[in-house]
Amino acid sequence: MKSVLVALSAGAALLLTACGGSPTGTNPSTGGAGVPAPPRASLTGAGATFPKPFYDAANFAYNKKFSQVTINYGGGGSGAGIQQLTKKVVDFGASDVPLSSKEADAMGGSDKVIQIASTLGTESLAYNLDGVADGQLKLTPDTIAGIFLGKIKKWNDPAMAADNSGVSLPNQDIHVIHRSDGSGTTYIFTDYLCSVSADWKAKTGGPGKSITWPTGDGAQGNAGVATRITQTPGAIGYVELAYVLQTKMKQAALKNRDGNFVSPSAAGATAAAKAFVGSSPSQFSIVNASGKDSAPISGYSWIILYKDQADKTKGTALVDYLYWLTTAEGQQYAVNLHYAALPSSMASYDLLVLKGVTSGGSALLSVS
Amino acid sequence: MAFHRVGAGGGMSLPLIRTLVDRLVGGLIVLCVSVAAIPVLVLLLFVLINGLPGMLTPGFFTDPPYPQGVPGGGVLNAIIGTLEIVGIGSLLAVPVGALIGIFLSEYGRNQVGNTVRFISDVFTGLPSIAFGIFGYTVVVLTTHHFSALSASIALAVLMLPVILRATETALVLVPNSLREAGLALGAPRWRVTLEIIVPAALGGIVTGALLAMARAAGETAPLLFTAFGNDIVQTNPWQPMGALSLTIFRNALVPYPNLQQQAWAAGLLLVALVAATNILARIYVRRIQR
Amino acid sequence: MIATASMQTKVAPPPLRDVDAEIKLDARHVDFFYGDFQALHDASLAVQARKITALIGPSGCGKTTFLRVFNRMHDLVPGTRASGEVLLDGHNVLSPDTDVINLRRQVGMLFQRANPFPKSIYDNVAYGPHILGWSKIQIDQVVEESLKDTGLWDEVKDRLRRSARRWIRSPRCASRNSCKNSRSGIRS
Ligand SMILES: Nc1ncnc2c1ncn2[C@@H]1O[C@H](COP(=O)(O)OP(=O)(O)OP(=O)(O)O)[C@@H](O)[C@H]1O
Ligand SMILES: [Mg+2]
Repeated sequence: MKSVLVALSAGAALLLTACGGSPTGTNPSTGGAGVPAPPRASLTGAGATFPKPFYDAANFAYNKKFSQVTINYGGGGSGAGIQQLTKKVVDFGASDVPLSSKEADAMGGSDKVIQIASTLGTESLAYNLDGVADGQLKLTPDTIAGIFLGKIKKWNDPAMAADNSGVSLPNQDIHVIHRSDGSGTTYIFTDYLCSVSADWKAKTGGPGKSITWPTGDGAQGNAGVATRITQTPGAIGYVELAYVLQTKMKQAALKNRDGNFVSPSAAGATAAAKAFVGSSPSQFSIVNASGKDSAPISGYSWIILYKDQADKTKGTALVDYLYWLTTAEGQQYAVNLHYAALPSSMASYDLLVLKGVTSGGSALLSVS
Repeated sequence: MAFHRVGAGGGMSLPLIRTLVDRLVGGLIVLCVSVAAIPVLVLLLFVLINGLPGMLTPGFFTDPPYPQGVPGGGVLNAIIGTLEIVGIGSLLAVPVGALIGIFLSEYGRNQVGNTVRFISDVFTGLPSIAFGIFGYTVVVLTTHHFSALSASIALAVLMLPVILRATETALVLVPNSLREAGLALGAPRWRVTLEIIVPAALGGIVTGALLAMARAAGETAPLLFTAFGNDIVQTNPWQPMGALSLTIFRNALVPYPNLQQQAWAAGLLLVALVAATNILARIYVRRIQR
Repeated sequence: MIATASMQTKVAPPPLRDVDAEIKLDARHVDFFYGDFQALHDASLAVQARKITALIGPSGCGKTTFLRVFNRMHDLVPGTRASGEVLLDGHNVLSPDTDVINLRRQVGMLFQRANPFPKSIYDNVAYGPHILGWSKIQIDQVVEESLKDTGLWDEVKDRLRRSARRWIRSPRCASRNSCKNSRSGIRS
């Protein structure tokens, strides 16, 4: 009976790969030597919406590779993901910011959960300004902080003009748009502002998923902020790179720690991540990174799961899948969608912690 | 005085004024109807224009959604999900709602009936997310996973007040003489109710049930943390499941134009489904009344 | 409402020549109230078996009210009250221990207005016997008989299964007795 099932599912997998092909053109079945074949399982995850397109693409590909596993990632927001995992109604949660100690305590303590970095994202400052083309506007840490503190009120402010010689900045009000909902995107952006501006840090107290803004109007989600910017002449706001590229918004070149103006990109995020050795859930900040290509407002996205899995089969499928996700084979789906590939140091960290996932005392991941 | 003038056939002015007033009031009514109807028509047109291209893409009805980067994909998962979730919800809500409605109409002229009516009215006023929380707390948290069934239960509770009120109203409208006619034959109360009164009110009961189903099909909030959504075609009610309303909600918020188009198309499909249900209800009632 | 005319009926004097007349139903000193409004004042009536008795009076004088007391239809109207006695074969219909359902099976009633059930013509005619648990064969027979008796058979025999809504007055078998021999059917 069992052999019949295996034969059937193997046949189905072959059929799918043969018909569907691979989105990238590489053949996944030859891709990952050493990726373990998972047992039959249906996995459910919830959390951050920012990496959802990546997870969806990766889940789809994984299901083609191993048809016995279906993964359903529902999004819902980082907070919701943490909440659902705490209530144990999902198998894994996803968040743009690792668990706070309070959140970890609600799950039974930080030694009961593990967190792996799944992908990297970077943020852009998108703007709506007639006569200033994409990438023409140059912003420095000082001018960014000045704008979001409400100190720089006009586009032709002298502080702006200094960096933008050759660009005719209009005498127009600056409209700051920020997120109205709690989000990892806001956390990473305010983390950046705190690290580059003592003034900002003093005024707002520190980074947070939602903060009291000195100026500007709120909008819901990346999509909401993007829409508001598109509709408001003179507007500026922080938006995930993927949204900026997909909606073809204009984004500013940002001055990084090394003094170079860079246009935020996936490669810039990877460069930023590489500048921080020893990143982990407790040392996750990679904003304002050194390195000539580093995109300054970057951050990891995290997947959270319980260290001890009640259901051995499900747990095995989960770690097998998550391991695959962090390999080059899984990471290619991130790159396709303007997410950045994990640096190899972070992938090694992920493998290490995944090996610590157990069920009934025995480790679940069998990777050499 | 006026009476006399008309009687004498002397006043041509009076019919003239009458005609004018008639025209004026008629015009006002047309205006009011337009004011109410135009936004609806504009909305329908908007959904049609934006939704039709997505609906006509191959695979829209036959494929599950594919992730960004993979061409094609449809909403088969959501079509099956909406039908199954609402279907199971109706199987739960219609019998219970109809029975409570019968109780209210035939035996509910008392404190118990008034209490039930009051609770039902309170339920009607609740925001629909509350039903989602109910499904989440009662089913998801106890079974430890999201499921279509939890969504069906949430929607069933949402549908219940609509169905029971529709049933009660339909039954109350059945003339009392029909009850007396049945009872005068020596039929016990319950038989008169089930064999005479309920069939007489069936049109109203079915309409109420169909309208409740149409409302449930359009709900998003109760599904978010019950059905949860699923890009994989799923028919097992114990598993997370997609739904058209969830497709709209999720795809409207992503930056990818093809997924946004899918959201519009799913919206059009949902509107079509709801409209079809309403039309069906009308045809059925007309049939029954003939 | 404003009708204050009291029921004029007196106890009918026993028919002189028919000395051994059998009194089937005997209403004695019936008072009837719709809430505070008294509709019947000391009404009495003796009804003979196997005879047709007509009750005549001006509109609103209480004919229907009186008849409805005979099979306790007034139970269905909240706030009503009847006093006095209505003896059916010697048993007081108004006493609390009367089995109302059984009583109504004994005392059939046809209303001032026809009330066709939302059923087929056949089912309308058959509903009474059906309630009484008659067999299918018996019911088929009685439906045909009843429709023939009323002269409707030829007209409706081909559409017995169709809705009776348009059939304003299809004869319903009002009770076990009225079907067979109209012993104590009431026609309001
Ligand atoms: N449900 C009721 N509640 C209060 N009063 C009622 C009710 N039904 C009848 N009445 C009153 O009782 C009186 C008797 O009414 P009833 O219907 O018995 O008269 P009737 O003799 O049958 O008249 P008709 O010849 O018009 O049928 C009337 O004054 C009527 O207004
Ligand atoms: Mg009358």
